[in-house]
Amino acid sequence: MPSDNQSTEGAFLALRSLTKRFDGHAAVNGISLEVKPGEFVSLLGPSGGGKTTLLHMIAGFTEPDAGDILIQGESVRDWPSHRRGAAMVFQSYALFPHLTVFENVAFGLRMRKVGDGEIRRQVSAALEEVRLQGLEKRYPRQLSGGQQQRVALARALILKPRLLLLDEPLSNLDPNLRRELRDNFREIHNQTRMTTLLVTHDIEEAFTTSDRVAILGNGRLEQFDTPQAIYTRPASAFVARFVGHRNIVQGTPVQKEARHFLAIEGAEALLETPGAASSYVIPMNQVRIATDETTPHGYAGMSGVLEKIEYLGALVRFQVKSGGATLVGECLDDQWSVSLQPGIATRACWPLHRMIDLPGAV
Amino acid sequence: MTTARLRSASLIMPALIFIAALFLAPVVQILAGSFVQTNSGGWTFTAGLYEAFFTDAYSWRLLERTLRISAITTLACLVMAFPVALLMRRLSSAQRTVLAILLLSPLLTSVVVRTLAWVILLGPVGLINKTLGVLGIAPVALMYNDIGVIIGLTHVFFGYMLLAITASMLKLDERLVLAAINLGASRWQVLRTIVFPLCLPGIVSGSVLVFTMSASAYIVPVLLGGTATKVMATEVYDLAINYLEWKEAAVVAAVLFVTVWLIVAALARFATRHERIGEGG
Repeated sequence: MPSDNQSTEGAFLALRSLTKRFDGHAAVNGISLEVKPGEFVSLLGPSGGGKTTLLHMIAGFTEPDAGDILIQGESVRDWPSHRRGAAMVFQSYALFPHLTVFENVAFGLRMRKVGDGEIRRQVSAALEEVRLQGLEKRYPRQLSGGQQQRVALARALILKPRLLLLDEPLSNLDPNLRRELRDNFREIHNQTRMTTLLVTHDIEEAFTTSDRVAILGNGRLEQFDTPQAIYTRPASAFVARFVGHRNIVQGTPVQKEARHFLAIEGAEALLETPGAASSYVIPMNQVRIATDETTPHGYAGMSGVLEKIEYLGALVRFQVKSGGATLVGECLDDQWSVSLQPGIATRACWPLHRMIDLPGAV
Repeated sequence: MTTARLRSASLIMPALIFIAALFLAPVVQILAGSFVQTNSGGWTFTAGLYEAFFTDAYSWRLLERTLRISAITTLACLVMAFPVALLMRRLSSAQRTVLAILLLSPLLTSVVVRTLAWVILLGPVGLINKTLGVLGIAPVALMYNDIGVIIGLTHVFFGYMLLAITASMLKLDERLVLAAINLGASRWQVLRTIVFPLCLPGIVSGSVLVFTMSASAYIVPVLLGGTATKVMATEVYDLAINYLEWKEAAVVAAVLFVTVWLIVAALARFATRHERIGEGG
C-alpha cells in the first residue's frame, strides 16, 4: 500500500518540492504535501515560516522557483491566478473600500463581462446565502467585522472556485470576534465541503478548524498530520515547542549493576528495558509534585525548588528548578495544594511511559 | 464649548492671527479698494472697474489663456506623475528616497535659475533649435508662446503632483490589488477599477496644488512667455508696477482669485466625497 504522501490519485491539491527564494534566502524550501478533496487544512507556523508565500504560490500571486502545483491532477503552475479556481480571502478581508457590498460581490463577474441581469441575479443569490440581503448599498466601512467576513466569502465564492484559500483572515481582530468568525469558516466548510487552506499562526485557530495541520518552519514542512497527532506525537523539537510543549529534555541511558536507568537533567529513572539516547518531551499535564522523597514505580523524579506558581484560571502552572534544568507542570486548579509556596524544596515526577520520544535530536 | 475644547482651539490662535494680519487683511483691503472710487473728500461704492474689465475682450483672452495654461499644465503633471507614482509602489523605501530626491530636485532650485536654464534650452537659438538646425530641420517656436510657459510650469510643479499622488499610492493596500487579480482583473482593469479610484484624493489634491500655483505663477510666464503670452499674474504686475494703476491691478487680482477658488472649491467637493468613501475598509 502506498503511503499517504506519495499517492497522487485522490489528492485534490498536490504540492511537489515547491521552492521560492527571496534574495538568496529560501522562504519556501522544497515543500511537498497533498490535500484530499473536501479537506480543511491549516498551514501553521511562526511568522516568516513561509506559509503566506506558499499560499501566494498556490493562488498564483508568486511564481515558484522550482517545483509544481497540481489541482485535481493538473499542473496549474503557469496559469494566471483567476483561472486556477482558487479563491482567496485576505487578512482584514481586503474588501474594496470604494465599492458597495453589491459591487464588491459582483466584481469577479464584472471582470468576466457577465451581463447586468445575470450579475443582479447571482449577486442577490450570493448575498442571500450569507444572509446579507438589504445591505447591497452599504460600503465596507459601514459593516461589522462579521458582515465584512461574509461579504468577503460571498465575493470569493460567487465564482464557484474549486479551492478556498484563507490568508490569516482573522488576525487583527479581538479574541471574542475571532472565535465567532473562526466557527463561521468551519460552518461554511461543513455546508460546502469545499477544499480549504487556512494560513494562521494561531495554534488554537488551526487545531479547532482543521482536519489536518501542516506545520511550517523556516520554509520547510515540519509535520503534516491531525491536530491530535501533532500534539501527542510531535515530529521534532521545533514542532513540540511551537504547539506549546515546554519540557524538552535530553535522556541518556545509564547501566548500573545490571539495572537500566535513564539520566535526565541530573535525575535518574529506573527502566524495565535499556533506554535510548534521545530528546524527550514531558507533557506539562503529566508533571506532579511528589509529597515525599520516594519516586513511584514507573516514574522519573527530579528534586529541586518550586520556583514559580502561575494561576491561569482553570489551571495552575508551576515551575520546578533543579540545577540548570527547569520543569514546567500544569494541574487543575482544584487539585493544587494551597500549602505549596514558591521557594520550598520539592520533587517533581512524571510517568515514564508518558514521555514523548522526539525522533530528531534538538 | 467646553474648557478643554477652548484650550485646544487656543492652540491655533498664533497661526490664525498671523494669517489674518498678513494674508487676509491685505486681500480684503485690495478687494475693498477695487470697489471704491475716491473723489475729493469722499468715496463711493462702484463696480465700474469690474464692468470695464469684463467688457474688454482683452481681459477675457487673458483669463482664458491663464486657465487654459493652468489646466494643460495640471493635466501634463498628472499624466507624467501617475506612472512614476505607480513605480514608487514597486520600489524599496531606499530606492524610493533616491528617486524622489532626483525628481524633486527642481523644487530645490531657485525658480529664476531653473527658468533661465529653460531659456537656454528652448530659445530661438537655444540648444534644441541649434540641434534641429544641424540636422537640417526647421526651427520650432518653443518659447514666447503657450508651449514654453506650459513646459516651464510643468517642470516646476511636477514634483508637487508626484508627492500628492505618491502619498495616496503608498497608502493603497497591496491586498486590494491581489484580491482584484484573484477575481480575474487584468492589469489595466486593476488600474482602472482599484488603483485609480483609490488614488483620487491624491490626484485631486495634487491637481488643486498645481492648478492654483500655475494660475498665479509670475516668473515662468515672464521669462518663457515674454510679452506675447501675458497671463493674469503678469498683467497684475504690469498694471501695478509699470502703470501704477493699483485699482485695475486689484480688479484683475480679484477676478483671478475668485475664479481659481471657485474651481478649487468644486475640486475639493469632489475630493471629499471620494475621500469619505475611500477611508477605512
